[in-house]
Amino acid sequence: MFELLLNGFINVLFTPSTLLALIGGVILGVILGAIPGLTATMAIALVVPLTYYMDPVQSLIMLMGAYNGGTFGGSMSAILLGAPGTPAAAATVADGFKLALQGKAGKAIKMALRASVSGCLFSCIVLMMVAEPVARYALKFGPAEYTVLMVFSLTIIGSAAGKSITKGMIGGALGLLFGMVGLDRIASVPRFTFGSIDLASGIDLIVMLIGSLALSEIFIQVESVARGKIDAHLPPPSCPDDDKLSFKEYLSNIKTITRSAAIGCGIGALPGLGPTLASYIGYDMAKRNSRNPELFGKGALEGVAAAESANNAVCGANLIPLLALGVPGDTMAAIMIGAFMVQGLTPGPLIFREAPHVVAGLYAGLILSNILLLIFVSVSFRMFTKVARLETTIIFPVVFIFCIIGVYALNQSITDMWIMLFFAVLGYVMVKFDYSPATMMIGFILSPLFEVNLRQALLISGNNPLIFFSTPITWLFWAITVYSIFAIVKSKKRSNQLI
Amino acid sequence: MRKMKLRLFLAVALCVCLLVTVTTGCSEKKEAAFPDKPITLIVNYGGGGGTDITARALAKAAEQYLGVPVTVINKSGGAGTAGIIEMLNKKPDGYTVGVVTYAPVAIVPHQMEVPYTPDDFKFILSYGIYRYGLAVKSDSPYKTVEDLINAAAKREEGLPFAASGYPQPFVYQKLSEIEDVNFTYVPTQSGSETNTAVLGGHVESAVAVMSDLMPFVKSGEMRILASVSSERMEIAPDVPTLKELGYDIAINSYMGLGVHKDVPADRLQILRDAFAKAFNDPTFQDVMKKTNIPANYISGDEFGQICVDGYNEAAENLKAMGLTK
Repeated sequence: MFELLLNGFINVLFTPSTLLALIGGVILGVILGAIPGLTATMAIALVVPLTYYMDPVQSLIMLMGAYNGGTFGGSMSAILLGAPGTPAAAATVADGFKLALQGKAGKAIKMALRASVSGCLFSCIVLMMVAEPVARYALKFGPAEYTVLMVFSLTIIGSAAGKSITKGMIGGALGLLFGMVGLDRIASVPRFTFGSIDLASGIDLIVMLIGSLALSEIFIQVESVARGKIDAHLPPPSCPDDDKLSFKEYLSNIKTITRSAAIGCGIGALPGLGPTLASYIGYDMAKRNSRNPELFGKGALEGVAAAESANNAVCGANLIPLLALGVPGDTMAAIMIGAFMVQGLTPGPLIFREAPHVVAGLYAGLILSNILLLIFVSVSFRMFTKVARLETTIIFPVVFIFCIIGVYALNQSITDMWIMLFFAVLGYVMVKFDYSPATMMIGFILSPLFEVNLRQALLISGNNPLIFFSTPITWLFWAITVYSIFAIVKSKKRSNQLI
Repeated sequence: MRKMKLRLFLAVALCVCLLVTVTTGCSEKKEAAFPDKPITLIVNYGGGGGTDITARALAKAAEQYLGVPVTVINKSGGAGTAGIIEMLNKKPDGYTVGVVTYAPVAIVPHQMEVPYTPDDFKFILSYGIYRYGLAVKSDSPYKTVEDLINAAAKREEGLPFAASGYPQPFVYQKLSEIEDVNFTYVPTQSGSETNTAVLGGHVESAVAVMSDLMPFVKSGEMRILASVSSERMEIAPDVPTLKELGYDIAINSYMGLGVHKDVPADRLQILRDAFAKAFNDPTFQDVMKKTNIPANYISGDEFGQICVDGYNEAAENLKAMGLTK
């Protein structure tokens, strides 16, 4: 195995075209990920047609590079603009943007970068060592286990809710409802579509995200500019230290980073969940275990580290079910299956025997993509922060246009642009009344997973609810859920802000 | 002096422009040969999937026979109907071609409101066929279809099976009608979710596309009990069909290309000829082989008939299951 991996590294590093493919993938990923509206998924979709003409290792590592770069790239705009570039970076906004407003944009980006790279490397190691057993264990998660996991995941709304739990629950319920628009996933009957074919495929996660978190944030900032509150978008660093991240600061967050990376690995290994949920759960866990939870949402480096480590850990962990079982974990992994197939390879248990050099090359490429990411962003982050310090009159129109282009490019649909605008207004109103759009986002992500698994489980058991208590995994998640609710109530009671 | 020269130059230039315009442009436009500009192919599923990969390969191969580029765009959504509707909404001049797969034309119109029926299309060809297999986990006690039916007979609330959408569940629907037993349909969102449900032991059996099942059959983790297509499968020649087992059940699903029914007949013929040649192109055949989707040529008219027949049959099946809109 080790020898094979070494060969993989040599193959990638000393074949100029392969190395170039990887570099290109990473850079394209970072840039597309950083622009709100253009996402890592889009970077991958752009790269796929190119890969038809490459050899398997080249094409796959180019995709991995774009995936990893794109997942990180989203956090750049989350930090610099307050508008997440990708859904996975939504949890990064809360603290990243606050840090940027304090002049610490450089510091926040560096924290995000180190955390992302650490998280992804962690998951690479898990992938290389124990992909097979982890994937086998993940198979034990059936509809019943997923359902209980979703019940637990709903409790993370508690920490995203801000002051009022009730408002958080309203936001979450709204998100769950919006997630039900479109064809009923079990009976294929249209719901809440008002007869519109465009709505039959439901509301796209990206459209919802760009509307409710990115565009609405732009509205809010435009308003404060109009009232003469700020001129330049971001303040310059107040001291040179603001652009740096000392090794001590990194080390003090190592526990958070490791915890988030482990969460990201677990979520990534379970097909269907994806990086956005991982980063929210990672953030939630970090807040609960932090010594200063009150700093979260006000510019805690720990919060940035928690969210970013978790979402990039999914990049590597996603390959666990993909390689070991041939089951893609999220949309990006599904696109990668297509790339495998074009090369005449079928991901699944046989790939380790049939094409070990491809797997080794993929591992090497994934590890190298982190190093390249580290180099590229360290060199170029000043350019990005400089752009963010331009005047708001330049930045906001540009971001606005990108949001529109990105959403249109997704499905070539005008209706999507209206939906985005709807969520932008809704997000704006929510913020004005002190509701958190993030809670709606969490509900929206969980909605299809929750509903489908709940109904599948009941179909399997013949409507017997005992299936939700039938295995040790379900008991474990029930226990965590109860603990989680208890902890929320306790902390809110202390601050007397339950309602 | 300098000004004079400039004026002279301008005058000459204008005269030349006039002359060029008069002698070339303004006569009545001649009927250009079809096609004289790029053709757009709308794929009704997202990028990277089996439909997308094969459609792009076919488009690439067709370019040399059409003599113009074929631009591929993806328009997914509405269970495969959004891309088809998009194609129908474009001017019926033959420059917009759609990937038209079997389910969104023959089955989905019974489940949701769509502005078309199979009669609104002219088909170019069908180039690929989905074969389905009935699979169980390899350590499952069920060795034959009969075992499965016996087990279902013992479970009154129904033996759960997974499938990722129609027409797959029709197999169990008919089996349960014939044998008077119950199966419960557990819908999954994709072929790979179906695999997970079987491998994890969460359902007893599944019907899925053979290309999705094959890797697990090869690795010894799944067993195919029957081919539910009309004939035995090339990739698993030992597996009997349901027909051979005594059940008159077969489902097939197809990938094809179509245009709006108002596209002029001569243009349709040009498209049919070009794509038929593209189908036989070795580069296209190679991609089909790699993606495990059997390449299978059916002429446009025959494919149209298959869709119309399937449309009528699906109406009956869904009515029997109480699932029509």
